[in-house]
Amino acid sequence: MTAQERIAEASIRMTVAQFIGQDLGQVSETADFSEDLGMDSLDRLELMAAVEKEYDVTLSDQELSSVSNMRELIRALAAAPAGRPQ
Amino acid sequence: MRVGLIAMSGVRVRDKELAALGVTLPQFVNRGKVIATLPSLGLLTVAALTPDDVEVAYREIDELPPEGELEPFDLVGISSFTAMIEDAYLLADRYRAAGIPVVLGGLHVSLMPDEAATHADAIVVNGAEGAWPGLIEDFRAGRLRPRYDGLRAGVFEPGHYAKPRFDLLRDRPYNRITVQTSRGCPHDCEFCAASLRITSSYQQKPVDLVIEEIRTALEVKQNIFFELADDNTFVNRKWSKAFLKAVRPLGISWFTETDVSVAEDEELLDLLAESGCKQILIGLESPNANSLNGVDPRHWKRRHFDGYLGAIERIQSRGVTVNGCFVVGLDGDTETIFEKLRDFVVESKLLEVQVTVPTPFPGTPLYRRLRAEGRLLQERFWDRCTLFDVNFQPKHMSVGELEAGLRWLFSEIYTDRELARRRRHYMEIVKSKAGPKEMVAMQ
Repeated sequence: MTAQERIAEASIRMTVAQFIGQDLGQVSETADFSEDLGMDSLDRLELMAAVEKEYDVTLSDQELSSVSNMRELIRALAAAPAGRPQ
Repeated sequence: MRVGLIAMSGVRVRDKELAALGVTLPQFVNRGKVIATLPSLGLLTVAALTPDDVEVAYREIDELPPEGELEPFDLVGISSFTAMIEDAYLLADRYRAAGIPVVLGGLHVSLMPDEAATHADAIVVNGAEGAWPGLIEDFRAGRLRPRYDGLRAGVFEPGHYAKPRFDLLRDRPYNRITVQTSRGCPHDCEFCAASLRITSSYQQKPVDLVIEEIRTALEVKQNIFFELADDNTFVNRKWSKAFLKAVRPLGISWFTETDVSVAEDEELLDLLAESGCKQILIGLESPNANSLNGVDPRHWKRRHFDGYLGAIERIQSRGVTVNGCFVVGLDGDTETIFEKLRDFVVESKLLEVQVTVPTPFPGTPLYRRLRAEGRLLQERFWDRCTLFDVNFQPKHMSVGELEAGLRWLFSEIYTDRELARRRRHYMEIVKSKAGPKEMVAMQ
């Protein structure tokens, strides 16, 4: 992972942690948004909207319904070219 | 003395084809799952009305020991809805056969008291307020009466009101807690089998009591989602705004049911969004104006039909999603209703949709009318009161056409593509509302 990728990942982690109101260190990369972090379906969509706007990307329909933890979200965002809808 | 309070809720769709279809349609089953996993606010209230020196055990039906075993209690109270009432009767019969007295209560029991009384040592009709404390006193004195009538008015007034025992939910896996702010609804829809059937008029709980209940529930379960157990929360605008201003600082997320008139008040809508309301469920009933004739005695819904699309747009533009509820198979409906509803759902951009068939719950005006018209398919069909099973002869189509139309509609509006379209629409609303930093701060 390049330095730029590590910075991007840390930034995403911080966005998610802020969104769910927890300290960065408390949010595991594999914590399930619903089961472990108590997010309902609308919470998840609000989070996706927040990261899409923050990083100027558009996640695919498949990703919107399948991303279930921070690791998967980071991967999805990393694969989405910035500034261009999928 | 130990009292067991047993909650029986949830529904099981009897139509196997529909049930099978539902399994593959997330949005169709989600709401049903949510309802099935809500704790029984009625029994938590009964627990609160029980004297302090009586031990209370709250149980969900799924927690009971397997067939053949019965948890020992001195007295059992069972609350159930119509769809599960036959199971409730069986359980009551088992306890009584074991020599343990049973009290039955809830909406179905209130509407069919004579039927329920044959399975109970005592029944509670209407709310438990005004009935349960006296029932316990009589039971202790060995003079339990067969019927206790609870209050139909003044249920939230001092001397009758009791804060639900949310502490009984501690260490239980609920992800939603119900709080009630009102009972009844001024619209009195013909098919409604909700709390208006056990109230003489609209009952509104004082704001400070509601807030206190929410605070107490938050002490038991932090970060819990709240579901208001109301039929129509925002009837009184002055109360509504005071409530929304009071709930805003609590930082909770919540859901409730109301009517389309909320969209007429811009200030109310802004407060709604600021207060953490995530979704409101509205009984729109039909995309066909003529089908709304006679749904309620004052034709309130018919008169508000022209404003449906604008109202949905105004509410959802605040980031508060609308769960639009429709009933297909009304007397004004023909076989064109299914396509018309599919088109309305798409045009309205509703974020969530719930479609059911008219269900003649016993004790409702709809039941009485259909029975008088000879249109009920069976005399007793309580386990089919699921909202998805057809129990009557529709006016302008056959039973089979209604069932097939419902299945077609589900296969149209709950597809992955439609769900994705709704998700994307909601996200665009959220993104247009605030900058990313503000969006994060909203949480």
